[in-house]
Amino acid sequence: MAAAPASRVEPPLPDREAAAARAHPLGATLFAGACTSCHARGARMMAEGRPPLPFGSPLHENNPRNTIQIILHGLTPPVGPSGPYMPAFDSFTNAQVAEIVQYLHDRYGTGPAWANVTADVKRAREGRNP
Amino acid sequence: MIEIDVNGTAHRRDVDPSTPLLYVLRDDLGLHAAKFGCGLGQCGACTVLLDDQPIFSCVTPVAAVQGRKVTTVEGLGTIERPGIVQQAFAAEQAAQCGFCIPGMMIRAEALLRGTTHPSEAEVRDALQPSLCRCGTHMRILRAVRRAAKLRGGGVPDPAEPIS
Repeated sequence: MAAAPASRVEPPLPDREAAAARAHPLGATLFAGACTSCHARGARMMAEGRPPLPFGSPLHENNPRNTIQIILHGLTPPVGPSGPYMPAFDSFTNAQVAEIVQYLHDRYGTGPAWANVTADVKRAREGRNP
Repeated sequence: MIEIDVNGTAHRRDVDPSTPLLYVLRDDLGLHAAKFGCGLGQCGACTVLLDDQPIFSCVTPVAAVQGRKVTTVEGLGTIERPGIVQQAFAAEQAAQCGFCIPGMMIRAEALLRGTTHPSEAEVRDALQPSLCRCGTHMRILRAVRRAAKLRGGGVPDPAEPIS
């Protein structure tokens, strides 16, 4: 089979794991303990064919709001068919959530850097996100 | 070195800060009430209280709980002096296999710390994240109603749907 034309080949997704961990060591630690049982390479969920984190759009947006909302509230599949589920991580402090968010963006994200993430987490928790 | 406060006692352990709290409770502190079920924060068997909030300890890194109070079922009472939630669950024989029961008791405790007069809907909502595969839900619900009463409150007319 002929190879896909160059223009149709997806560029490799970034994974700046070491640099992200240097910049946000607490975020890396929290991610390792809270997230990797589903989101690490080779985790059970990945083996079931779920997409890796950078395939989703939230880490490629201009602001961290969707990423924050998903961490604070989790994801619930619709009633009926089975679907992806993620528990809410609302017991983390605002600073801890911000560390995870910044680690994730540094590691996988594209687009402009996210500033004032802790303030955005606080607003999201209070239901004040625009 | 990690310092954590569990059931009112401060512990220092040399564990990796990313270790899930559940592993530290079970493997390092010998507290076996919280169970490993799915390891993904989906079944609720590992539920413990962080301050007054129920959390999945299997997906909570121990680094995240420093300086806060962790409570497990061992902290609710003893065999000789069971706490109110434990008394109620025993009286209603709420456990069949028992694997989900510590998580259910912790969720009941969290609910009743907030209010001794929850509605039936609030009780069910509070327990919803914990799964029971034996099907003893009706006994578990009765146990929570009994615990509310023992705490001087109550749950008004359950009016359980027929199923």
